[in-house]
Amino acid sequence: MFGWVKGKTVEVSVRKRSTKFRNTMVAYSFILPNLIGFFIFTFLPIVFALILSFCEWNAGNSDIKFVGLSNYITMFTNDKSFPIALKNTLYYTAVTVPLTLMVSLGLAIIMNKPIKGKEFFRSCFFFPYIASLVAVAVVWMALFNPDKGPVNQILIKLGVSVPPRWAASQTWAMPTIIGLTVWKNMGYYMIVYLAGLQGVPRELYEAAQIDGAGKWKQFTNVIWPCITPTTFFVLMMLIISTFKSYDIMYITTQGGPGEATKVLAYHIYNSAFVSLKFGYASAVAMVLMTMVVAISIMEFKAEKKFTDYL
Amino acid sequence: MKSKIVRRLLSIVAVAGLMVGCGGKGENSAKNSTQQDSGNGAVTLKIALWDYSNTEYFKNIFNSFSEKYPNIKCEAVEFSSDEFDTSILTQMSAKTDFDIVFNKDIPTINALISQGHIMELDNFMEQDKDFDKRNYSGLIEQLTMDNKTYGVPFRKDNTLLFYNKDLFDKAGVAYPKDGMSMKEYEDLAEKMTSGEGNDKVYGAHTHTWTSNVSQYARRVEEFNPIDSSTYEALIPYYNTILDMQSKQFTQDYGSLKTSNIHYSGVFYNQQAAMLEIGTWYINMLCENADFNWGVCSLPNDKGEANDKAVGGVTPVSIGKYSKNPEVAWEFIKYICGEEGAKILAQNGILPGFGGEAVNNIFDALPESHKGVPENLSRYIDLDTYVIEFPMSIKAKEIDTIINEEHSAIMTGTETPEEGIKHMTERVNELK
Amino acid sequence: MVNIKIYNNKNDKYKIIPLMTVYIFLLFGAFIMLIPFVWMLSSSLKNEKDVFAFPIQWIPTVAQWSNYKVIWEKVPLLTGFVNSIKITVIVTVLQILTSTFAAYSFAKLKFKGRDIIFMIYILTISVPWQVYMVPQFIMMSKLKLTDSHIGLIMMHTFTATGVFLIRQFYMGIPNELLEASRIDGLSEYGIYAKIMLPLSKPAIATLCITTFTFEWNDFMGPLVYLSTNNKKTIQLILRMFNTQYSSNYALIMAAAVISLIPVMVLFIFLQRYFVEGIASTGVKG
Repeated sequence: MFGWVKGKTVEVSVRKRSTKFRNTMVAYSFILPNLIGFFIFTFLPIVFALILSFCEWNAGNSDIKFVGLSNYITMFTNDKSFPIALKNTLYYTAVTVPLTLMVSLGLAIIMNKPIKGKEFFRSCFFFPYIASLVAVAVVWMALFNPDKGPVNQILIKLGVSVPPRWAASQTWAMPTIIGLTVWKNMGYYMIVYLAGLQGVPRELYEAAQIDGAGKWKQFTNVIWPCITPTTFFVLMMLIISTFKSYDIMYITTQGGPGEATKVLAYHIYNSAFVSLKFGYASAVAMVLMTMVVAISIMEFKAEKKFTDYL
Repeated sequence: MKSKIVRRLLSIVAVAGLMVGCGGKGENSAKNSTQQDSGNGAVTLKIALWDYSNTEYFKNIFNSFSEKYPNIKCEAVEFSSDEFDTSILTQMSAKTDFDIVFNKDIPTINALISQGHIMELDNFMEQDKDFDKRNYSGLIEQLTMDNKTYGVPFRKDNTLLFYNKDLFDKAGVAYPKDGMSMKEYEDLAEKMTSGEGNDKVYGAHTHTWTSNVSQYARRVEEFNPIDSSTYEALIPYYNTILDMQSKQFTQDYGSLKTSNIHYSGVFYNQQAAMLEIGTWYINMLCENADFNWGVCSLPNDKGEANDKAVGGVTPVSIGKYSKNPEVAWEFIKYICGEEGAKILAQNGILPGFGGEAVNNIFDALPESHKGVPENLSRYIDLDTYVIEFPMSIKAKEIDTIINEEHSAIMTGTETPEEGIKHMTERVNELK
Repeated sequence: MVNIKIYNNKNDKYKIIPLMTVYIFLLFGAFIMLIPFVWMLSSSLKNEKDVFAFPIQWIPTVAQWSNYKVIWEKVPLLTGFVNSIKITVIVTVLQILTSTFAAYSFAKLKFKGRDIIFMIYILTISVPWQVYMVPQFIMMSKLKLTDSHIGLIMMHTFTATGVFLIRQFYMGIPNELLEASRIDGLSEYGIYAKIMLPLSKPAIATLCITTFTFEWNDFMGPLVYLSTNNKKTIQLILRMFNTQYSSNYALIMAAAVISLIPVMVLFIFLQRYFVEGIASTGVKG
């Protein structure tokens, strides 16, 4: 069923049953310390939450009531906020993911070169990731203040008579948030890519150089294939984290103006802790998870294709 | 083959999860109790609240309570104020044995009631001869749900129009007065607006909360958040506020909201002549303002002067899983009674409990603090208190919808008519 | 030395004009990136009422150094620091150990159920915490693990993200290398310890920084799980400056600046692991 996940495995042609069993035991002995904790503290509660998606529960004293598919039916027929939140999430993800990926990969490649003071630059670019979200959000919003912010003042000087009202406008609120997200997180993915780039064997660079390959060719033929597993990680984590994103909107716009920046995770939070519909919140989370399943299946396939010629 | 294993795995997990998750329902998790100290019969009350470490009056009240009842200790369990609702809902879902739960607002107490996490207090109130509902300006009656009472008001607030007397004197404009119309309010703001750029003084300041618009209408009971047919009454108020904003008598909502600008700084720094805000601001002004200020009742289009108050309430409840509800009731009676009220008032906070003693403390404020107006009691001791949000099981949801539409209207994303229409539709759709 | 020579190789060297562009770009970028830090620093030295004055005043007229004294006196900052360091270090160490261990198996060994388990790991990352926060809390409370550091550590140690990150890095390590070691008679545990671990230093450094940063900055976890004051972490204590009607951002930012220091120090320390590439360990690709 999940045959595409195989990746690179140890090929041992002839094996007796007992060695196979022993190998399996060895393999599980590696996983178990993590798996046991993971199973109890993360997996069980999640499964419970997913079962809740077929129930009605307000986290109170009353019984959990099984309602079948009713939460799902409500979601697609009777909840006007759901399609809005879904649309916003897709918009947010579709722009944030490629943007962050390109910026962080670009930065990592530059930072992997012999540049004076790269430790300093790396620290600077990593900084927004470790800084408090409140501080980063406040500064970003101040830069993009619709009336007095420096960005709009520059735009006015450049001859834009009516500059965007950024977070205070239906149209521009989401791009403002996207910018903030990319700014805050690119340092993290830059570091991940840097770690990945360390894994590119230098001999391959040399070989490419001896062949007289140009910069772009060197990138597409050597670097890109070698960092495919890293890209896979970055892509998955980016997609998942943008799908789950909630705190940035919570701190900056509270989902507004109107419902312009209300994303699915925000809707989930509201359904659970505002409307006290924990079953419904779980159902929305299920939909979110299904989308991640679909995407990860495609990515696993792609990863296999790429890593095959490593 | 694989899918079979998966199925079996999932079913085991599901059963285990359910058992862990909701097993032992109704049991009061007695083992958790640390309450009863052996020996002298001392009791420790576990109290869930926010802002404890940086709020003097909590400590003062708890200490004076423990002095009166040496056998009862108070253990404050503090949650951060912004996330209080989330924290308390999660804690209570695991039947945590809090004896006392402070409710941040009406939506919080409604959520806890609907989940069955707090106790009915009617029996305590009826059997206790010392307790008199009449001391609470009718608030207890407004705090009932299906004729049952779950909370006693610890604090209340009245939203007032604060103004900077120095700025008015300098401009030679008469102070705002009770019973102004919205038009008069706007004219006054126009007169008080002066200067340019960083030196600009705005005639008024409209903070970003929904209540900064809705309470004009709520005070005169034209607007009721749990009755969607009253929402249309907000339209004229929105029109005035938006007009003041577009004429730049007030700062722009979008600018305030996105820059996180807090109303308090604007008023302390004398950048606005008038500010509509709750009475908790009295305490903050006493500490921070170095100018003379005054208050008057909110303008409205119904011609009502200073007859009614509008604002939020902080009810205190007893947790459902408390081991010592009787002791908890003693505590509530104390902190929400005259003794607690005096301590609150001395800190410039308006207690739920009203009366001469509280009034006298507020009237004595000008003696100890510079710039405080005389006769504050005229504005805090009123016969009618309108709670900004009446009790309703849907309070939290309605509140969220109203806030979302408020932001759409104030940023000009929707006209007031469109916004109110959406607000009405969305609230009507709630089930 | 060898590495440097390779880097100075003619083809890899930037020409003067592109180099200038790169530096200008980097300097500009660094400047933008540092603005939040400057804002934090300058706000931490202001009076509360001036923090949100607009336009931003970058250099406070009178620096309120007393803010730092106030936070030190007003809240149990030291307790918060000790608790945070304890939790963060334990979680980071445990996560690195268990994640590298499990990741080796997921990346390089073949066994029944591997793909399904891995898929489940990834899927759990995609479920927002708000959804299972309440069931998890109820479960933890039955296990008597609420209001304890152990509970928090257990919850955050066994996350899928760490396993995923390290697995992806291991995937890039050539199998030929492992085969050679097996032929040399190394056991799987030996390969893990002697080959995989040394080779994955950059990845471990990355995991270390990110776990540390996440755990250090985590707010919702401690918020829900720690209610006793002397168990609270630094981020929880920071929030105590937020009150219902006002937030003392001057103090919050002063405390935030202090709380940043450990993460910064760790990052600067771990940076050196990003220059040790595979080539320097003598592996042929």
